[in-house]
Formats: sequence, structure tokens, C-alpha cells
Amino acid sequence: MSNCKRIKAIVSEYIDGELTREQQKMVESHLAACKSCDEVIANVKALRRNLHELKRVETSPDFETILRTRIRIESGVSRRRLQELFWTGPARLPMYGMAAALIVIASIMVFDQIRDAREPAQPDAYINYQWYGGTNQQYTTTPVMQQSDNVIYVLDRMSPEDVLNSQAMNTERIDSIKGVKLDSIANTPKPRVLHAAQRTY
Amino acid sequence: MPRDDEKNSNLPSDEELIERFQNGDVYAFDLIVKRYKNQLLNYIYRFLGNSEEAEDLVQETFLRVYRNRNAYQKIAKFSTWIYTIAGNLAKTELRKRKRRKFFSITDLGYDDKDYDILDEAFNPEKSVDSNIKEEIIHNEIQSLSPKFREVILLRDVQELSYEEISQIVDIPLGTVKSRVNRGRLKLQEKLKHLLKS
Repeated sequence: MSNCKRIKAIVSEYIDGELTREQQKMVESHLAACKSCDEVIANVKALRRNLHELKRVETSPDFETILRTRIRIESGVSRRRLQELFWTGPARLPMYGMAAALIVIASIMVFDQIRDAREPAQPDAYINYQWYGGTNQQYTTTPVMQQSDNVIYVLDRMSPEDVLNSQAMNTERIDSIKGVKLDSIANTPKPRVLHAAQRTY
Repeated sequence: MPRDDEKNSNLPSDEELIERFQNGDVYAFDLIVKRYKNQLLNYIYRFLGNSEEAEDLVQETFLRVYRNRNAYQKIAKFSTWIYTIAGNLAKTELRKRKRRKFFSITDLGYDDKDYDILDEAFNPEKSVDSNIKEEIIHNEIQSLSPKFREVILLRDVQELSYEEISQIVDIPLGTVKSRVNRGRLKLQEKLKHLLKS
């Protein structure tokens, strides 16, 4: 291996200060004599600076609301109920009161689970899709829940990418939405479609 | 990436928060989300090149943390665990994209904006403003193969240690160092005109 190749193999360790003192001296004496390697080192240093200074993107303002909704849909246990369960400061309640509260909450949760098992989540709407796969036209109906004008949860196992792509390409492919405002969705250039498995418990 | 809140030692550590969450404190989960949402978004965004998809994957990352909170064990750093989840999701998404891209070529041939062709006509003499410069760097990061892109982002954008990267990517420390070095050399070669300016 030539000297330059050897130096290039440890450029990053040199820049990151991960070399021994002897290795560092060896690199520096090479750099003093080799303009090409010196240039590579300067470029990698500038590259690191540029990567570090790349603009930071931020999550959308409704990020946490959407996350909470997804958790709620998925777990079937509302956050409020969890808060009630864990945050009411049970140490301050009289022991009998606390026991009674726990029994009531546990009963509500058990009742909800039994009810949920009998009644799966009701979708807000059904979307009919017209598909153009090659020469074939296909029609699919999928249940959805609407979080807001531009956030829709797909409730069955249809791929969310498929839904997103069909809407992104041409919103007119949504033929009908029963029970939600058709205009608000049709006028949204690219509705955000998130996937949420249908509740089965 | 060093976080501002880490500088304040009064704030609970990530490991304390996940432990509280494992014990039923959902407020601790909220704090974890606040602490990591933008870090993970930047990582996945730079890895996939698309911010909307990235946001959905960050959501999915937190859902998995929520669901699998008890799978986390104190022996590992929490940041390593959450970055591993996010990275795996991003890599799966990339594989899905490859399949979709294959079908779109054989099918209708829709343009995929995520794969913008790089600016081959880049003129080194021309001064570039910071937005164009950002875009060129972003596109060149996308042009790296995923195995180099992943370690470069973790090291130079997220500023994680080589040891942490080794655990997240699950490859030996020596391989991480070599990949970071080769990735940087590839990038500096492609961007040298821009870096000199």
C-alpha cells in the first residue's frame, strides 16, 4: 500500500482524534509533504462542518396529537383513563377510597374490553377506490376514520402506501366518502393517510 | 446529537424516563417523545430523503416503543435502542421502495420525486447560495449506498460515538470506523468543488 493509500485509510480517525500520538505524527509529516492528502483532509473537515450545519427539520405541530390518537386506537384504553389510573395522587386518598376507585376503574376497563370485543371500532366512512393496475381496472372499498380534514386512518389491511399513492396521483380517484365531508378531502392536494390496524379485541 | 436538556443534570435521564414509563407513568413517555421526535425525524429524513414519510416512520418508532416498552433492558443505552428501532424501520421502508420502484418501471412509470437526478451540470465557478448548497449535499447523501449513508448520518449529523453506532447498526467497531471513513471520502470526492468554496 502506498503512503497516500495508508493515510487515506485513517483520515477519519485522524480527524476524530482517535489515533495514537505516533500515528498522528506519521500523518502530519506525510501531510507536510503531500499536497493531495492535505487537500483531502481539509475537504473531509469541511464536509463534517457542512453536515453538522445542515438545516434541522421539525415535526409537524399535530405530531403528538396524531401519535396519541394512534395509541388510543391501538390500545383501546384512553390516555385520560391511564392518567386517572396513575396520576391522581393515590397516597393522598384514604385507603378505602383508593380501593373503591381502583375497583371502579378496573370494572370500567373490563367492561370496555368486553364491549370492544363485541363491537369492533366503527369506521367514519368507507372509501371506494378505482385502481388502474396496468391494463386492469380494480375497485376496492376500505373503511377509514377521519382524524381531521387532512388526516385519515385506514382501518383495514389495505396498504397505506397504495391509498396514499392513488390519492397523490389523482384525488378524483376517490369516488365517494359516506359520512365525512367529501369537499374537504377532495380539495386537499395530498391527504396524509396513516395506517391503523382495526381493533380486534 | 448532544441535546440542550442533557446539559441540565436536573432533568431525568432517558433511562430513568423509560423505567418510569415501564412502571406505568405515561407522562414519562410524553417526555421521551418530546426529547427524541426531532432527532429521529432528522435522522430518518436524511436517510430516506422525504420528510413526510420520515414523520410517519417516527410515529411508528414511538408506537413500537410504547408497545414494546418492557422489551427495553437497562443494560443498553435508551438512545441506542430507539435509534435501532428507527433505523430498522427506515431500512425496511427503503426495501419497500425498491420493490415499488421496480413495479412502477414495469407498470406506469410514475416519476418518483424522491429520486431526483443529481445535478450533473454543477458548475464549480458559480457561487451557490446556502439553499442550493443544502440541496446538493442532501442529494449526494442520498446517492451513497444505505450502508454508508446510515453510518455517516449517525456520526456526522446525529454526532453519536463510534461505539454507539456499532451497537445500533450491529456491526463491529472496526467496520464502523472503516465505513465512516469510506463514506466521508466518497462524499468529499463528489462535493469537493462545493467544499472548497
